[in-house]
Amino acid sequence: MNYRIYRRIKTIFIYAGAILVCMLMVFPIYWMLLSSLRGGSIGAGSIIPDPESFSLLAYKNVFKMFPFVTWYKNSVIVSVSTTVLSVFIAMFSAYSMARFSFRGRGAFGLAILISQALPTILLAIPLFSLLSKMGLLNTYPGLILSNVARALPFSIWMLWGFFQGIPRELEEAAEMDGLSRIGTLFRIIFPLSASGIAAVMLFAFVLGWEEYLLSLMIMTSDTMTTLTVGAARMIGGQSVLWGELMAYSAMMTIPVAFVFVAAQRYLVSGMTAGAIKS
Amino acid sequence: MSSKFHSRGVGRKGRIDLFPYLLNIPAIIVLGIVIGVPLVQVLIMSLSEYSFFGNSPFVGLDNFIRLFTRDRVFWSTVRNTVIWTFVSISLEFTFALAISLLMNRIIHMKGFLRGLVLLPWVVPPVTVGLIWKTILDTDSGLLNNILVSLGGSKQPLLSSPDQALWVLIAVVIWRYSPFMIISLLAGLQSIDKGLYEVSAIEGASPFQNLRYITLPLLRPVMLVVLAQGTIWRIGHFDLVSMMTGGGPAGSTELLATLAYSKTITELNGGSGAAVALVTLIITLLIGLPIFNRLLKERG
Repeated sequence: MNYRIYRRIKTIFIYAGAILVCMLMVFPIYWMLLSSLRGGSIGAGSIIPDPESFSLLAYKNVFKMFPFVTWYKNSVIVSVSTTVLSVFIAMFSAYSMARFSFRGRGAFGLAILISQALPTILLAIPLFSLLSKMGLLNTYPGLILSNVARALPFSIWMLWGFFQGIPRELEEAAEMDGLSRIGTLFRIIFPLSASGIAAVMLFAFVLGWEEYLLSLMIMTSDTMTTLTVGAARMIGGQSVLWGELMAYSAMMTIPVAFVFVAAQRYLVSGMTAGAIKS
Repeated sequence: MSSKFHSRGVGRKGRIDLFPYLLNIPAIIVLGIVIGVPLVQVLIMSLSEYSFFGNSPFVGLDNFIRLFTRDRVFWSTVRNTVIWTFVSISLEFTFALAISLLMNRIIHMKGFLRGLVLLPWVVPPVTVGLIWKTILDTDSGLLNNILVSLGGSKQPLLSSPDQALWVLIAVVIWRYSPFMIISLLAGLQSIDKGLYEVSAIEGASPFQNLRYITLPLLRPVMLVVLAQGTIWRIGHFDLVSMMTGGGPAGSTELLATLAYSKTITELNGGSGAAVALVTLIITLLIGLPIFNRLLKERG
């Protein structure tokens, strides 16, 4: 009897702790939404929402004052392309690393780990001059190429671990049935790796969506600006428009947040199989 | 999986099998252009008096020597970066470990609560900077409003050289701990539940479970997470650039922001490249032992 009470109290504490932590983590996001609905007033108000004074003025201003739709479109194009390309390219490499033994495999593995550790600033400046020589400044391919390279190392690493966990008997059977080697990858490995691929997609998308330094250097023209660089431009002005900035941030963050909350279990299970287990 | 490779990979009839190489070609092209070429170029830049216009004479190690002997800002930046990395990673790790242990006990609304905890991870660093500025602003920020209404006094926060770095550390922990939490959660989930059943039969206390089962088995994941976090934190740029730009009075200048301002603001590409390379070397010193271990584990 006592033991049951003890367990119940313990459960209550665990949930209270979890909810408290959630509130702490979510508060700044809640604050962003609240400030965005204050109609563009400056300075902090109360943390308690007052629905009667809510206004969408700040949101309207964002569309009026900036080429917001264009920037949004640019960010979507860049992030989606980054995601698709990263997953495909990473899948090929990861399959090669997980299933084959070849000369240079160890070196390539090390190169992958080193390249995901490189600070972006190290690459940004020479990359800028390289892309300008290639005529890729202010183009989608220029930024997409850069983002894919930043997303690839971790994506390869994760899928590599994931593929290693797939029993190879299936591939051997498929091969005996006359499936080509590339066919094995697409018809056998690919469908079995759904959660790993979902995790990599989420990772690559978030990377593309929030990338700042490379976008800042590559997308300099107003029509090619992405959302992150646009936000930095907004604070560059004379007076800081907090309400508008928060509305801007909200429109940039909320759609991704929904996808993320919906997909987080794939992320955890994908990470478990791909990046943690060996 | 303990088994190694397809036997077919080692070559048929003694000929080299090109298939595994072909699979890596797209990755090698992309990584070569975006990472390989710039890496070589940054090395060349660091050894020259690099200007963006006109020629760039070769000066050997001059940029590095000047940095180490005559550049006061460089050493205070190194100091800032050490504090920043060490303090933020150790606090973040403790926080993430506690939360992942807690979240691992949750059964009801598991997905929802976890999703909420991980939410800061989808807020782009640029947006993080904006949100926290409205909270931390010295004159009209939320935190100071609350402090004053509780009878305290206004704190300068981001506008004080004594406080700014610590405030940034708090913000960076908020933004980046989800990634650590998710990795640790994944590690916790891969621990065999049977072990806890056995220990329950043996009458082990929760503390003993933690001490003798959970932590030892989580050790490999903890090491990876710590190494990875440290590596990324040393070269961090976005948040600091957005929130303080290295100021006030250079108190939040980190190696990455210094490399940027030297190159872009001062147009001193050689010196900027030298700072970036120093960052790389520190990163690799920490990273390489872990990388070798990880590769060995993969076989």
